[in-house]
Amino acid sequence: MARDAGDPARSGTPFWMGPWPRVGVALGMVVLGCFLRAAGGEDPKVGPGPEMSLVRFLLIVAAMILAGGAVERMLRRLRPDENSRLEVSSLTAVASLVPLLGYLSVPPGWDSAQMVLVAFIVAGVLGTGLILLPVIYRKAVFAVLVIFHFGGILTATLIVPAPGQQAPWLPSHAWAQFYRPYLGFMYLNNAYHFYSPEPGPATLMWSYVIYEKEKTGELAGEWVKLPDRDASPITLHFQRLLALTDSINQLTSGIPDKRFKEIEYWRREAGGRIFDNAKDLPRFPKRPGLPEEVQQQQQLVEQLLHPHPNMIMARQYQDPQPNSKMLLASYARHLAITHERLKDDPAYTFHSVKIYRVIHHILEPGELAAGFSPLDKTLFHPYFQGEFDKDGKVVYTPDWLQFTDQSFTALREAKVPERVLDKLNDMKKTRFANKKELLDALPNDKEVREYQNELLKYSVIPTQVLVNDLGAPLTPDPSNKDAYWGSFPNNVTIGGLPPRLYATDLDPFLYWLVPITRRNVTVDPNNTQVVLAPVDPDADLINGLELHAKYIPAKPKEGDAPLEAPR
Amino acid sequence: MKPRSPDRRPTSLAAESPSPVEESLLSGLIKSWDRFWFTPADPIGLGLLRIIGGVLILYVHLSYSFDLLSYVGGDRAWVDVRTENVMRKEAPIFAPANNWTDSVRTGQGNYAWSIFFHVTDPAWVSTIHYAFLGVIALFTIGLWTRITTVITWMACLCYIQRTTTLVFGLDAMMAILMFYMMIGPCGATLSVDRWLEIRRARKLFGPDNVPEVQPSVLANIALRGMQVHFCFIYLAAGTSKLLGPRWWSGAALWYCYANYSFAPMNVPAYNAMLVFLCQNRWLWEIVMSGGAAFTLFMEIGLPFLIWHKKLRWLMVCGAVMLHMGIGLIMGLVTFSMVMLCLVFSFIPPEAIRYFLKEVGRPLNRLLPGQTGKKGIQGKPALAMSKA
Repeated sequence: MARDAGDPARSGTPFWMGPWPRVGVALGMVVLGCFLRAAGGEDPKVGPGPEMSLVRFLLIVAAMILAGGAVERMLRRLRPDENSRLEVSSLTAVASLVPLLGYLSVPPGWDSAQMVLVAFIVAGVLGTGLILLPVIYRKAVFAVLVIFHFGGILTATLIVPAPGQQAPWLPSHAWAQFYRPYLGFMYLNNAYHFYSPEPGPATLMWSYVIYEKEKTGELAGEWVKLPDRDASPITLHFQRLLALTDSINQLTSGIPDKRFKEIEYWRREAGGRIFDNAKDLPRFPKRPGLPEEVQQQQQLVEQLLHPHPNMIMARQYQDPQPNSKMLLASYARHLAITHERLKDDPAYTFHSVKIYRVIHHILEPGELAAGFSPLDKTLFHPYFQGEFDKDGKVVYTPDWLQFTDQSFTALREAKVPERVLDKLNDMKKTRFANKKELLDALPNDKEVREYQNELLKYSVIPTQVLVNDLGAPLTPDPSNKDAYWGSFPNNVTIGGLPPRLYATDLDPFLYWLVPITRRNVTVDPNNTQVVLAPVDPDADLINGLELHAKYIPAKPKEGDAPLEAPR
Repeated sequence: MKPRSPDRRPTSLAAESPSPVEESLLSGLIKSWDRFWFTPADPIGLGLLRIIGGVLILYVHLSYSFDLLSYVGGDRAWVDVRTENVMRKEAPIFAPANNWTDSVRTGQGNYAWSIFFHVTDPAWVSTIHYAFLGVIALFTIGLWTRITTVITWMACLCYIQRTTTLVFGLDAMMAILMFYMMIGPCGATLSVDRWLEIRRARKLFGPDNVPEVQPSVLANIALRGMQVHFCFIYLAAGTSKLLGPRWWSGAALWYCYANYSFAPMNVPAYNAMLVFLCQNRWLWEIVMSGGAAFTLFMEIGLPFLIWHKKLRWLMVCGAVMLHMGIGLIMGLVTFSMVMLCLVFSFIPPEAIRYFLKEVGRPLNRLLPGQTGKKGIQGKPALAMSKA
């Protein structure tokens, strides 16, 4: 036998517990909240957040629950007749005033709370209208809502561009200009392209945290490798960290060929010629805290600094998207907080952290059959993401600055004969604070002096990288809103020249693969398949990652040109 | 105002079809639509999904407790609040231009919301976290369900929107599940609310007056919504895989099976099985190609075939197998469980009642003083037949 549990007359609920008194109390609470906000004088220190006192917070939450409960109770009484619809819709309309007044009592800083309250107001108004409508029209409105909802879901699944293609035009516009508020608010934006177009390797994040002893300046370091199955208390924690590390794997689609040539040039210069030709440079200085094995491996520096021998160059440089760069800076700040001191010796405090995005490649079936381990070190491809200080700012290593000045390569674009440029190779400095400094540094050669104006034009571009508060590189034009996102609009120029200043300009390893390779490999004679097998997995390993992470550049010598600090 | 009799009013959209010619096609379509969405349904399925989903959601949110401040703490979080604020308020939104040039900027920011954007004090973050856990527990047992369902949905989204870089498919599925739970009366059965309702009715109208569970249009809408959404998910996942050469070559599953970060490759037996497969290529090809074909068949075929009554069980069993495989081999157990919740929305209420009755019988025998049929009917909280 059916009973109407929502009917207070039949369920024995006293009137004052009914829907109307509840909505009345809820309204009273939010009015009080508004009054408290207008009157001020609340103690903000006891509240849950800025500008929100505990009393006001509790009033808003309790009022919303009370009003929601009242509407729910009233909806149970809804019958098809007009009187019933009118009564229920009236209560819903009055209950919609609760989020409206709640909106007024929430401070502007709580913008996302305001967004939720607006959603409740919209739901209340929509609900009021729906309840008032006769069933037939209610169904028609519902049909529109269903089409709207699943149209949004369909849009979200269609806006992902196919490989090498642009995103489809119509769904992209439908999403960007119509569905975005709804799908974003409800978190229904997922495209559900799981393991599509095909499954790939996992992305890991390895960080080398460098500590400094306060008084002596001695350095020490430790690896923090994420995610770590053994360190995670449950699998879900491990999987969340996998998602975290995957977030830094959002890469730019590529850079112009001309730009890549520049970057490659610096990378090779840094890895080879510079160190070859400048043997008087301090490298691997004897410092306490630097592992002995690193000292002994100086002969491998050149190999470390050279690119990976078995990969094409274009794949060895992977520039993250601006939001990934911002996330990296945030992760660095988190590591600075959670690794404030060295566990074994608290006298060492956080100095900086070198972060690597590591792609853990998957063994091919033939390799597994041949006995390779899925944890073979050469399967890990680390890409250097930068060295960050505790504020998440990229630390630029001073001795790199000496030799990777962008003006040096800029000269190559000038209308200057090669023979003149060759004469510049003898210059010890390629970075100049001003024109005079460059003119003084130019070789005293007649032909060079003939081209000095041309050289000057290309060598006094302000050499600094703009970094926003979150560590992401900016465009040099702060008035441009895209500045935060590191993109360079085509029309922006500096001194009449297109800007070519990236963080990479100051550290030639930034975003490059730091190879872990083997020197010697032989074909396994016992295996019929052509599989390269290591002779001695450990002895042959050239672990560029270890060398790069533990390499501590020398500080600039006295008399060196002052460096321009990144803003 | 004199109320009009409900039975005189047209309640079907098909009743207003304009002409006899159109009636055959249009009216048929409208009637089908009407039947599909507005036939009142037994809410027992929603009740079961609430319990299973609630336990999973409780587990997921309990897991945040291990490292709470790294997830949602203000400046201690992996993504600190200032970074999150920049990303949610200033991230540029692009769309293709109306001519043939590059994309144009159409807006900025997104519509993310979370209490953890504003509450950053560690003590308050913990307080809110444990309050949310309490509400999710109430939702799971079905107390004040209409309210706790909405708060549970809000709680889920508060974590998801705050920890955008730590979420994955599991969280998206959880948000979907809770969205439809909010629509339907998921506390109408198998809940404390129901137990209280029965107790109240017995108190007022006598011990033999147990109110029946009414079929509900909203229950049908919620279940239909889940079903249609599930089909969208499968179709998108399946068709997008057709772009991948490895799915065509049949090797795609290898890159799931041999992915050290997901697969249990640290388990010697599993590793030995992979090596054995690799040493016998014909076997490897059968397993990998068979698995890839099965995955594609399920993901592309299910959205169409599951609506056919005779094939429904086959499709449901196939989806269960697929997600068990994902859970066991790729380690995504919680994700698979939430996906299975959505699959269960296809199970008819009669089957659920039969299952619960069969499960309830031995449980009932275990209760002191209760035996057989009498026991089942005598305990409203456990009596599934009256749930």
